[in-house]
Amino acid sequence: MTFDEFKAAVIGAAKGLGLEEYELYYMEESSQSVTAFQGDIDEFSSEVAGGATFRCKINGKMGYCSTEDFSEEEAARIVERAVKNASTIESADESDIFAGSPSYESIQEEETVLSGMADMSKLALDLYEASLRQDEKVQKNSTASVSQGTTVIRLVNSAGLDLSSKSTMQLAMQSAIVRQGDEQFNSYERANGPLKEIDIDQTASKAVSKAIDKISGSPVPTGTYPIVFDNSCFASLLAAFSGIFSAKNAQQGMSLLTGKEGQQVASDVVTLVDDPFYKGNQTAFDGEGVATRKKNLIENGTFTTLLYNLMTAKKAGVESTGNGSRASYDAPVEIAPFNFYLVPGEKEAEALYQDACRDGDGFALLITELGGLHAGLNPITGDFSLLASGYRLEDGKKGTYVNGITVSGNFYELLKNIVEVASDLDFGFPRGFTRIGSPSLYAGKLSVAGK
Amino acid sequence: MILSQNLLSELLGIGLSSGADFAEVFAENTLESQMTLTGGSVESIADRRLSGMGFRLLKGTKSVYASTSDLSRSGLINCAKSAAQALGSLGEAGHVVLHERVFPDIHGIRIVPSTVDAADKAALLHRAYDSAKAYSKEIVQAQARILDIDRNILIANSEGLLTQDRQIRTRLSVNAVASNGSENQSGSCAPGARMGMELYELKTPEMAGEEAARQAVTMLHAGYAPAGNMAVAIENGFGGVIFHEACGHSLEATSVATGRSQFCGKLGQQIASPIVTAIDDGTEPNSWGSNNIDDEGHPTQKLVLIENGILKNYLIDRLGSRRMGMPATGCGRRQNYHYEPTSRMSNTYIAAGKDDREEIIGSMDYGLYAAAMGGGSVNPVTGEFNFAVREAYMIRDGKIAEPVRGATLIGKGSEILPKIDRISSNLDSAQGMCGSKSGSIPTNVGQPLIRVSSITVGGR
Repeated sequence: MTFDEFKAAVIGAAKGLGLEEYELYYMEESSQSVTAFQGDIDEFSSEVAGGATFRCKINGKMGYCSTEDFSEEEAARIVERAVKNASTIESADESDIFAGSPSYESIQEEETVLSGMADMSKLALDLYEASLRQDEKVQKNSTASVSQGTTVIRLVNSAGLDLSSKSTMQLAMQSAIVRQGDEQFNSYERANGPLKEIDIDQTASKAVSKAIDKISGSPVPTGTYPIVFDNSCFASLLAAFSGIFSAKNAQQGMSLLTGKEGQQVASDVVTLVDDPFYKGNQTAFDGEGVATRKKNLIENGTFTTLLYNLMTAKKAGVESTGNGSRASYDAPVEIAPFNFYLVPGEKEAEALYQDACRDGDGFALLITELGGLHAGLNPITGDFSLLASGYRLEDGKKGTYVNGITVSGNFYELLKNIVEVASDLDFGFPRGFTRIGSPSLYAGKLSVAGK
Repeated sequence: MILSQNLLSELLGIGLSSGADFAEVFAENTLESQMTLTGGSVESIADRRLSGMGFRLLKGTKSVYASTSDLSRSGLINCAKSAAQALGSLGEAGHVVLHERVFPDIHGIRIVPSTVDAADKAALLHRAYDSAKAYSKEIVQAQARILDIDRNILIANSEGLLTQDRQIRTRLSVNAVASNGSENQSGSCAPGARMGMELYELKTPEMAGEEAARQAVTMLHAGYAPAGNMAVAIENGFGGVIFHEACGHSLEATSVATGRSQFCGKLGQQIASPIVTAIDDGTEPNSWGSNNIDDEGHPTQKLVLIENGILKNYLIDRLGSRRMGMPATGCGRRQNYHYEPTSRMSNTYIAAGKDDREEIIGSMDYGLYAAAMGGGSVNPVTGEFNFAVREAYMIRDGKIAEPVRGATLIGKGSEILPKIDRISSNLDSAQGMCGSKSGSIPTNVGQPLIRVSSITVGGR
């Protein structure tokens, strides 16, 4: 059955049980991708996935149930399960079925026109061939892939709210493998769509040159060094620690930002923003139907607000910041930012290299990749110790490649020690509705383990 | 059966009609439930059904994968046609004759999770929470989560195979946070098995709660680990993650068949110290990473990967088998029907050695004792791995000394394996979730205590 038929069956079942407060959240994702390998299109994939979550509030408790099976019997089953689950919830924290915001931002983003399989295959092959042309060290087991997808959301509830949205994405990715003697080195470069605007040669060249740089890689001696993080690298670290800005973590004692509003938590060059309307990833309503809005979380070093959904806002006696998030159709309502980024400064990244070297007797490190972000850091304490690689900075100039080192520190301390922020803001790949960005920044001195 | 035999034959026929030489249907109906207790009360219940089909075609080493959650006849036929069209224009569809097979189920389930009342599950969570809180006044927060999965799969392919399997797993995870007012540290414990709720008679919620709390409190009183190269003794159980990352992933056909592994072309060669024997065993009864059949319908196997330091086998799935010209080893796995299967580990461990654990630690003048490991990752192309140490201590003059926090171990698989110079006899395993191309799947890691003569420790 279609979603509308399923919706009618679910609402019928909910009314049949006398439920007064309920919601149905639906997400449909369709995507296609192709991969070029050894001169041919080697993998095709396509996906059509639709799922829905029913939730209802009974005696102040919210019960959930999700499914991908849109049938009459399943509609009745998920309503019954959600009622049963509500009766098991013990927490006194109350959420609401939301009646709607006074107004919603109208999203003016131009919709990406999706490509056919033939165009996607041609782009993947062109990118693959372009990478082989860059250097004779590039191996035929390099790959290039192109993918696209559409996400449709529908939120319908007993308070009369009926919201929908549609978004599309396209991207190309070149993974380059180079060989020197018996050893192979790899790197990748991603180009966010629209596909027709992707610069094939530039994408291929960036992937290959990064892989070639790695051939000469070696560790530096263990010690303390001035550290510059490049933009995408710091964005990945910020993403790994983004949970500390969640009011839920703060209320449960899992964030050291609890109660720090109005206090200096970062150096005064740090302004951290969540902007749901930033170009390329615009969202008008959150996972609970609350209108989204732009806000600063840190303003010139001063902590201004956590991110709230309805439940945590009610508990704290504030308004939701419109950050109720559902990572997938079947995920409970959590908290996440939309376009979350450090506001860029004025200087070119290269100017930061000079300042860092000045503090390190002419020597510093530029970190361009971090590994083990899911394991080598502790969001509760802020401690991190991560596999890292990048470049030596000598007298302000980018030098040879550094690998086989770890960089360690504490994220809360790092925020306070940031010396300078460059102008080169860049965003990482979106995960769900969240995209995290940063410019390159000079973080002061950090501890490095190496040879 | 999730789909009728006639419809399966028809779908496979459509799949072959544009020139594929192999077609496969993977249908799934999975119920998953996860209850979370935070701060003493049940906070949320996620209760979901996954239902859909993954349809795969192979033509030589080319693969096409299409998946849909629409199990209506038209939804399935559209899915099969879209896959076939990626290979060429549709020809006349034949009819594939299927022969049902039933593989033995060696993973008995005594208490099926869906038969257990929610209130009884909540009671288990309260027991875990209470024991974590009771461990110390310094425990300021604890979270307990109980997960159960009832996965029903059907596999039909153009070789005529039709088979089904039901896979039930349960897991309890406890996280505890210790605080002294200005600093927080966390600890965790997460036992799981391919078992029903009888698991919690063997691994009680109290054991898990207390272990998570003990780890958090220990780390609260620890200084920072030093940075540099040193000898490391890695304890049994989750310590096996070192083999999983440093070597296991690089032995998967996903990397080997495409020339992206440091261990390509090394079969029969010495890649590890001669005392190292490593095994991947998907057949262990009731183990977290076990299955009767893999997600391609092959029976799982016990496979010796390394014997006395010599590389004996790779982990090979169906597509890898075509690329490598070697037989598949029953390791084609996927998170769910949205993913194309690929070669994955199941229960992977370094076999027990002959050395005495106490004697190994006694032999170290200075080094790190990694009592409990966290997660890690690897780049199979270069073999560079990293993993976090959750609970560590310094070793001084042959004795375990003060606890240290924030240690990370890094290195290159091919360089670390020859440096494993002592292996004790206390083999044990622990549960993890392994992420790769075909999604996140349950795997066991294991080993006895081992000594690595030198490894880079990230600290400060």
